[in-house]
Amino acid sequence: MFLTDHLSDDVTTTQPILSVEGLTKSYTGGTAPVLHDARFWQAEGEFLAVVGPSGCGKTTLLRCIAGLLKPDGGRVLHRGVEHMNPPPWLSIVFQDYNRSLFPWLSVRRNAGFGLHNLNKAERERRVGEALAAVGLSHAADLYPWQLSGGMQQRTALARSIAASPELLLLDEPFASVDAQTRMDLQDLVMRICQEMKLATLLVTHDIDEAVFMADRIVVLSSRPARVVEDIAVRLSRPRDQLATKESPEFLQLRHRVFTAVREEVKPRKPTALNATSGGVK
Amino acid sequence: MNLARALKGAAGVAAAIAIWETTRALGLIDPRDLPSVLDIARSGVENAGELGRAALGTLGVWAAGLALATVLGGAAGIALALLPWLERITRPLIEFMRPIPSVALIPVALIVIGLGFRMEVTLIAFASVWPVLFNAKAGVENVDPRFIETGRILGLGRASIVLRIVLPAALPAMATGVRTAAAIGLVLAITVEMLTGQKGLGFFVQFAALNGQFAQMWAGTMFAGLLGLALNAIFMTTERRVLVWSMEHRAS
Amino acid sequence: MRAERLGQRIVEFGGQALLLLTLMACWQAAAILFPAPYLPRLERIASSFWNLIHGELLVREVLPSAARVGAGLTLGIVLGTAIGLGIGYFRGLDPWLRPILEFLRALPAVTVLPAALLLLGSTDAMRVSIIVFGCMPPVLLAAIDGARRVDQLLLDTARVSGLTSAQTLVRVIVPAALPQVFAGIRVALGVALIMMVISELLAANNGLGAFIQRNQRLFNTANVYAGVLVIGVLAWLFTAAMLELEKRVLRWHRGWRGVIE
Repeated sequence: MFLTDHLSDDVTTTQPILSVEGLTKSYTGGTAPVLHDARFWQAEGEFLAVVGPSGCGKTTLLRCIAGLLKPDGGRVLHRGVEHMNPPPWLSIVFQDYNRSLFPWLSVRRNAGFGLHNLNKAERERRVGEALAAVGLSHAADLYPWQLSGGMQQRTALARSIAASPELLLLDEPFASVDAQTRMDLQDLVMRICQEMKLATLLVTHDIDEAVFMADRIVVLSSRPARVVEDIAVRLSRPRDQLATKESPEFLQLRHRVFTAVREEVKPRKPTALNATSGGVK
Repeated sequence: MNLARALKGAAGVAAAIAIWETTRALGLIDPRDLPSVLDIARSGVENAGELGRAALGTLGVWAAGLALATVLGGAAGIALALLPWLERITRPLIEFMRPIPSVALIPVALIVIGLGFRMEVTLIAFASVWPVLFNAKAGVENVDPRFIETGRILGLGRASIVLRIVLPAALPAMATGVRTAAAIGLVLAITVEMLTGQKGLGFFVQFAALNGQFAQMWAGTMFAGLLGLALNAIFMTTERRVLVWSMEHRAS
Repeated sequence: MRAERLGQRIVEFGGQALLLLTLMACWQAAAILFPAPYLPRLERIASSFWNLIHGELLVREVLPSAARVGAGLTLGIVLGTAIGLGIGYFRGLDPWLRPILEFLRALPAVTVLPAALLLLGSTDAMRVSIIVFGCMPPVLLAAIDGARRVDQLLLDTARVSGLTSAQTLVRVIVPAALPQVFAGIRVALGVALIMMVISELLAANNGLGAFIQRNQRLFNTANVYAGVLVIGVLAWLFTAAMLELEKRVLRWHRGWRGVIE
């Protein structure tokens, strides 16, 4: 099955699929630092969640990792290599699905968007499998405006996995859908990532979601963001919306992550760094 | 507008001038037909008085026609929006008149009214009415229904709602209509002058061309462009000041 | 329910017909009772109209006008779109070109007619050129606007999908900017028709503009009115064709706009 084509039989690489080293980025000529010396790594096939207080720079971090933004300092290594452009085995799903889907293309065409280098038969095969994986085979010829929010996001997801990625970035992908759809999408993403053995990086402000879905959680401070905690999530898979979320381990982890994030939201005593960034809210 | 942008813009204009002069120098176009930019500028300065008078001649008819069109078109547009039965009955008539390019009516106006100020103003008014009318109509129709509901809840009568809510809310759209009408009116005024010899910018350019004074002709053309820019700037600034609350005019 | 709607429609139609017939009756009555050169009888206008739309007159007067508008509009749209999308995509170009573009937009194209006549003579090349000169700026400026407004997320998606700049331009920017471009095309159509008439009024020996000009001088008013009507029909045909094209090309846009508004 193409979805796991990319894996060799011997998956013994110890190289992290992603390595963020001392990432620093500010806007408007250095007066608004967003990231400062952020560093963490992600292993092959690992589901990593990045959480932090609102507006702490999670999206900026993600864009740097995706290769869409050049950091001011530090570097991002994809399998040990610094890329100038987004590497081909990286895919991204944005939060605003109604701004990232091409409105003039059908679901099928949207899903096949990144596959222009393949021949027609191969492209159709992959698109078909990707649509089946997200449950949109019946809607393949519809257009984005004819779809619900959840279906649009699934189209974006299908587009990402049709490209056979090894690292999937998700930028608060469920923030714009209702709670019911969110749970369905969470289950879908987890299932696909497990089946395809995808390394997944999920940026989210929803702590429950992070604990529920991830193998590991990285907590960012408020601006300028750096990593303040790195928490392993040892909940068994497959995870269940009801059972897992009621388990004591889940609640403990949730408590721990929540406290870490809340610490970051509280005003801190001024340090040298805070002084240059004009104080912290 | 910051300095870097202004400089780049100026550089662009300089490049255009350079292309103009190069075209002359290379003989791609006969240099007699294409005077140098310097000659054109000089001619403009020399004839500044006449250009000014010509501009006033054109602007006089233009302003009169536009004012008439604004009042009539605005009233008609609002009426059509508020009285659906009127809109339905007159729709074929309006849709029939709408596509006719107003310049095609110049010969008609000449026959019916003859030469002169009255003909020009009538023609300009007739042509300018349509954008004002359609924009006013659309403006009233697109007023957010919640505004009207608010008025009703506050106990305002129909006339009050129209005067105090609908009209102000439709003003931005009407302003756009007037701005469009202004451009059309200008084209019409200049065309009439070229066709009939009425005094104005069109006549100035035409006359210079017929007398072989090409630098003067180009000067008139360039002046017309600058006039168009100035008028547009005046409209936009006025709109922005008066309609400062309107969302369409914010942030651009 | 359906009978009620049908009833409404009949009343509406009746009202419209009544209005038109009344106007026509007034005209005819005035033409008969107060004959004047500018008030020909309706049957004379009708017969002039009929003459214009078939046979020799059609070929000699109507077709050249239509051809000029068609050629000028096509050229103006193609050039305007191509150049505009390019300028919009290479955002750095805009500050350099803005003053010139705004000047060209503000310049009433008719003032360039004497110059065009001088440079190109009373030829079809001149007439088509002046039409292009007039109708290209709206399309160009709309294309620039459309290209610049393409959502960053669409461009990001293209980048992550590994598209080159050229591919992004063709596969993302062009479709995304198309709605805006069509808005410019609507304006361009109006300008093209105006420029066609102006160029024929002032500097042509055939075409509808020349036709009505000639007949005005000879006081053949029925012909003048008929000519104006034919111009109106031509304008309506071009507009209908453009709207149909827009409807097909932008089918996805209407649905999309309905959702996000």
